[in-house]
Amino acid sequence: MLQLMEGRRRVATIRLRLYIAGDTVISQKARENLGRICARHSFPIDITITDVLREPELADRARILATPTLIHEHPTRPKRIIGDLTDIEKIIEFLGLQRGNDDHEQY
Amino acid sequence: MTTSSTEPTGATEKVPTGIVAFDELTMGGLPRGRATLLGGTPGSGKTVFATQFLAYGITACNENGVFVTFEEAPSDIEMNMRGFGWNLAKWREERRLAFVDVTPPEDDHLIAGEFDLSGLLARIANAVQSIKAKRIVVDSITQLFHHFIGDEAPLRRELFRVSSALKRMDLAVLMTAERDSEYGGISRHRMEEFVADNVIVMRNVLHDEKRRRTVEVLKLRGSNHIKGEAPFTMVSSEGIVAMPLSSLRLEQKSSMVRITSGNPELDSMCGGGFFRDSVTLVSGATGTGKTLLVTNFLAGGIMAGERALLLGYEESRGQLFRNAQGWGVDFEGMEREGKLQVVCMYPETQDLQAHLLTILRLVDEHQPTRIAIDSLSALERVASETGFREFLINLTSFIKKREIAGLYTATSTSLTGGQSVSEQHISTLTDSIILLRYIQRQQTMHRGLIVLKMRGSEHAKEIREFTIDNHGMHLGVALEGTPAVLAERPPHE
Repeated sequence: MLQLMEGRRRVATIRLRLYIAGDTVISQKARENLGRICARHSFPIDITITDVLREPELADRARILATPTLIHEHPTRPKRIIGDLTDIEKIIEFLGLQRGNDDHEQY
Repeated sequence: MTTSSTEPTGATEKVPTGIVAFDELTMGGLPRGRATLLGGTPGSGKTVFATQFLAYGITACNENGVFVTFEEAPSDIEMNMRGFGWNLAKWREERRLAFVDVTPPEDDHLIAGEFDLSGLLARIANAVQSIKAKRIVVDSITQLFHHFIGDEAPLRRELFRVSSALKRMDLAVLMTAERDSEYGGISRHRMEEFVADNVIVMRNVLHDEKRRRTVEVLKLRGSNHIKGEAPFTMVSSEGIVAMPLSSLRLEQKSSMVRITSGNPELDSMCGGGFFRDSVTLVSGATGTGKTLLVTNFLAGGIMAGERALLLGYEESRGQLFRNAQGWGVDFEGMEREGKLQVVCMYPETQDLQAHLLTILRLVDEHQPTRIAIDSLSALERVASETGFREFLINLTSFIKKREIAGLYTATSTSLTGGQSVSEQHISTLTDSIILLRYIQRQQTMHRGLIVLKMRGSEHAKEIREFTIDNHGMHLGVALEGTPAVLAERPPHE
């Protein structure tokens, strides 16, 4: 999953996991918004969608309280976003996905 | 004739909490299929109450429980509750208890857009189903509002939804909520208005540097409950222990059986002795002979084949035994034969509710037919006025119910001239009152005894002089003229 960029610098794939509860309007909105966020930049992103109704144990492990919840599974600085991800600009900034931003890089 | 199955009565099934007094207040416990909000200030005992509710279900009712925690990590709760004798970790491993951990993760977080609590609900439903839980605790829902600072309306809507879903699962639901003050609003964010059918409040009031813990049922929808605050105490290895209010009901039957006071002359002054289930107060200044009357009372009972319990709060065992020896009574021998139990404690070692509990335990263990408390005045020091009154009512009702003869002593300072409030409590609760007083006659000091009150019986009205020697108390002639008789202290002091 690692890609080599600019010589010796490696950029890790961004792992995002979206927890939703069933196929509701709010779940749909979150999926759509997540798609829009991914389309806005060129970093490699690995997305998993978990339905807490079907896999509550995974929700337990992630201590999910509200849905939808998007978790950026970063080994040292995990982040979570609660809600249907409407404010795309704010989310991109929160996740550090702006163009030219190397915050999410890791070795 | 055909029989038809009877319709359910519609009455709510109640789930006992194991806190006897509380189950009595609610006439059975917490209603199943309903949500109960438990409000309390920090440190009022909400988590202990909630855990006890689950623990009792698991250990006594074969009902598994789910603990939803917003604030403390499950491992912390398991550790903190060990002291009360609840092995949550073991129950968790045995799948009789399940935690739903909704403590906030360390992650940076952002709220963006609409959300609901379906995640929480799915996890709770999964936990409930996996262990077939019958009881659930949510501790505390106030924390939810701290997780999502901002618009409260969606949270209220979601909490209502969660609460309704839990009720539909036929669980007995207990949700805790924080309060800001002991006698203010029921909970922060006024949660009682949208999540709860029932409302309970726990208080931890500091008054005159003395703590008083109580629990009160404010609302119990569609069901009767008893009004008023019930005092309770927190006991290590047990949790919350509260005295049942039923002990406050004066339903004791009065016994007409007479028993000896341990002094034949005093018996005749009382019209033939004390009554079997009566409580007598002996009031007098220091050194007037209260402990002697106690010693006689216990010895008299033991001589008649009874068992006796002495609770000393002023003097040590050694002192009490030496005193008794000096009056010709062998406490040591009586204890050896198992007829007597003497327990001495500093009043300050525990609060009054705990003292009461200790006494009830000792009575259950030792099964005495006589009990003496020496002295109430020492116990009064460690409680608020209300606390002391409750203690006294509970204790008196308890020993009367058990048909135990009781003798209390009080170091009086002013029983006859201007009573103190607590003395009023004592004197209205006891059946008989005996006063011991110093009397001045010419240049010498004497002691006098008067039976001031004897419920349900004739008694001598005169003041009798008495002397004390190595055989105990000797009542002499009736005194003539009373002016100095009710003096509180030796006039020479």
